[in-house]
Amino acid sequence: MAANDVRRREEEALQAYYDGELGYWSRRRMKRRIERSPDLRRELAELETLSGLVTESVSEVVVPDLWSGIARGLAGVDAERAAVEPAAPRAGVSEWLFRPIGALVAAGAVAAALAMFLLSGETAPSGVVHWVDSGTRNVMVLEGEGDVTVIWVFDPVGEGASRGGRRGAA
Amino acid sequence: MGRHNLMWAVVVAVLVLGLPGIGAAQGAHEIRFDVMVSRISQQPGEVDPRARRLDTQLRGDFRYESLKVLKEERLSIELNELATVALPDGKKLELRPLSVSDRGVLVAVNVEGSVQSDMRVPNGHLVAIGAGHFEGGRLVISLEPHF
Repeated sequence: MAANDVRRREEEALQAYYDGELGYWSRRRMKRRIERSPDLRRELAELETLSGLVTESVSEVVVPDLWSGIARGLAGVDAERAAVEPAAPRAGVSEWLFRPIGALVAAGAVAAALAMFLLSGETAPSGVVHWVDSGTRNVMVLEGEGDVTVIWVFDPVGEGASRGGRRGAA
Repeated sequence: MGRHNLMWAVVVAVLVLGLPGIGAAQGAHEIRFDVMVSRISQQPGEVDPRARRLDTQLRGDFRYESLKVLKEERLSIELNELATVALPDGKKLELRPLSVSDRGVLVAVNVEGSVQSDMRVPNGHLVAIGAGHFEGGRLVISLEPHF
């Protein structure tokens, strides 16, 4: 692996640590590495400083009140339209009856679509393993085949060298 | 009924009605893990019927002749509680469930001297970890959470 890749992964790990995105083991491991490494401690301090600066600059930005201007413009448009267009005819009794029914039908359709969407999502347990560390050994993760995930830790000296068509041997 | 009797009746009713609710609320954060430790080996033999599901998954990817279940444990673990299972090779398995969501239980797993992992395991999903040698074969640890 190139030095640049190692460096980039280390920066990503530090950023994830700072953002609180690491899992239990990875957080502990990263914490230990930071305690041992002056460089990582310095980078973490820089991240904290940078975050403080960003927070300050965001809080100092004055957001102009655009909506009041837009609302004034809309009121003017409404007034012009009312002057040009004739008054709309009043709704009849049948229309008043059917409006709530239509709304109910629409709400039912939306609820059914949501239910189908939510129920169909339960069979996708992909991404079970978030983080894995096997030290110097190679590790293989098999996911996405039904409801089973396999984590296989190989011996340090290439256990799979004579495994033929399959992935490993006992 | 006197005033004191009425007060006691209310207290008893609150306790009788309230305690099971408190117990249920505490139990809601308890995760059950079915743990099975097996050994797969090139030695001829049978496949333990208790490990049929595991065998179905492993058979296509790994070469072995027999599968023997060495140990089964059912653990009930509170969130953030550490549970330990002694493995046949003298090492230990550690589990610490961290949180539960509709996508599964986030659990930190440590197989001593072999592998550490953070994983989000859906309800009833089987995780098999092949780690370590034992009596001429490989140890396979299966975890299945229920919540």
